[in-house]
Amino acid sequence: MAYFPQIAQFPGTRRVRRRTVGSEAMDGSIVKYADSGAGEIEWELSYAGLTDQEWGAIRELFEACEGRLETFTFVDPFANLLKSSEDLGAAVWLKDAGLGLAAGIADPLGGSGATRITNQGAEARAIWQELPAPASFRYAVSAYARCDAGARLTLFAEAGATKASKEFAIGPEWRRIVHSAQPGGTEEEVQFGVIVPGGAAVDVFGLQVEAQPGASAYKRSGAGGVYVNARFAEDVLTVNTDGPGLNSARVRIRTAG
Amino acid sequence: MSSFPRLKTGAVVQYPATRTVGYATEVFRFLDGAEQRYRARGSETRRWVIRLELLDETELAALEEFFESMEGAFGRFAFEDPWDGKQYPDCSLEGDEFEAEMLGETRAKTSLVVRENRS
Repeated sequence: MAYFPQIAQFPGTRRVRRRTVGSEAMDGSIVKYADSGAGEIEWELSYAGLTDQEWGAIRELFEACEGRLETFTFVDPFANLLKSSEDLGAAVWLKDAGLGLAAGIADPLGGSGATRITNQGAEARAIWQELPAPASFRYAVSAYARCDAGARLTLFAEAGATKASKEFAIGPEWRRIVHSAQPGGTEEEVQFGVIVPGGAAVDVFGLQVEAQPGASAYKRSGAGGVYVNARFAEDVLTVNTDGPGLNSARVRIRTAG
Repeated sequence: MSSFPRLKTGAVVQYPATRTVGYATEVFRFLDGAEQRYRARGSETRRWVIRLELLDETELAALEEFFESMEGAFGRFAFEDPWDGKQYPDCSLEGDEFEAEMLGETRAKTSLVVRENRS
């Protein structure tokens, strides 16, 4: 599967569109219907100072897709890529047997979105999510975590035989832990998750995966941020060469959503 | 019923903020210059333009999540007028598009328009 290269800069714009069909009466009241199939998301990515190699990667994808014709995978550079980040009981989350979940725990942002993960066995067990994202990208895997008794929690990104993991010591106070991981290789599925040591009960909140080296502020996620049927929004791709090896451009990408 | 999300400061809007009150008056003007006027709507309608800047990623995500939960202009929610604290129980977003500009880390901006429904 073709994918958009991991090149993102500020500023960027993201537009979420929905369609509402309405009929307004003379008295100003409106009868409305939601057209749920008509939603779309569009990104407008502005680039400056791109090297020839970086611009070449975007141009090659554009040519391979023949403009708006073909689809590619787009990893939203501004999103939390995980789905249902505060519902670890959702079907998108996979977990080893023997791992108990209790939702509704007080979280460090003043809500009750944290989950207590209890490992009843002696061996370390994991909870993870598999995303259709390229293993060659660099990701920031982050979470808030605490444990009354203290524990060593592991964040990981795994693709095929390669696993990039990092262990963190956590105590009774909330701590944000961040693992900058690049699984590497040509795999197009990456598993991101948490490993809980045997016998530990750990409170976890704000699980987040971003396609960048460092973590930004936590974003609660619903549908995630990997789009496998994205397209260029235009049939023309224009680049300005501002100097030797310095290119600027604006790219618009669109997907149903 | 859902409520419009607040920023981390507890505020709903930032300066400059815009509030409009509108009426719908139909006017018939006759050949002799006389007029007849009547209300096309039973009461006024309110509209708030909410422009937000310097948002962090958490605040922006909450606003986008709210937009998606409303399915754009379709959904209805309660909105507290930030000028006087009065609660308007039946409001909707005016548009079907949510645009977020990411200008830098913790420097996002967006704009939403809330409109009171007539039912």
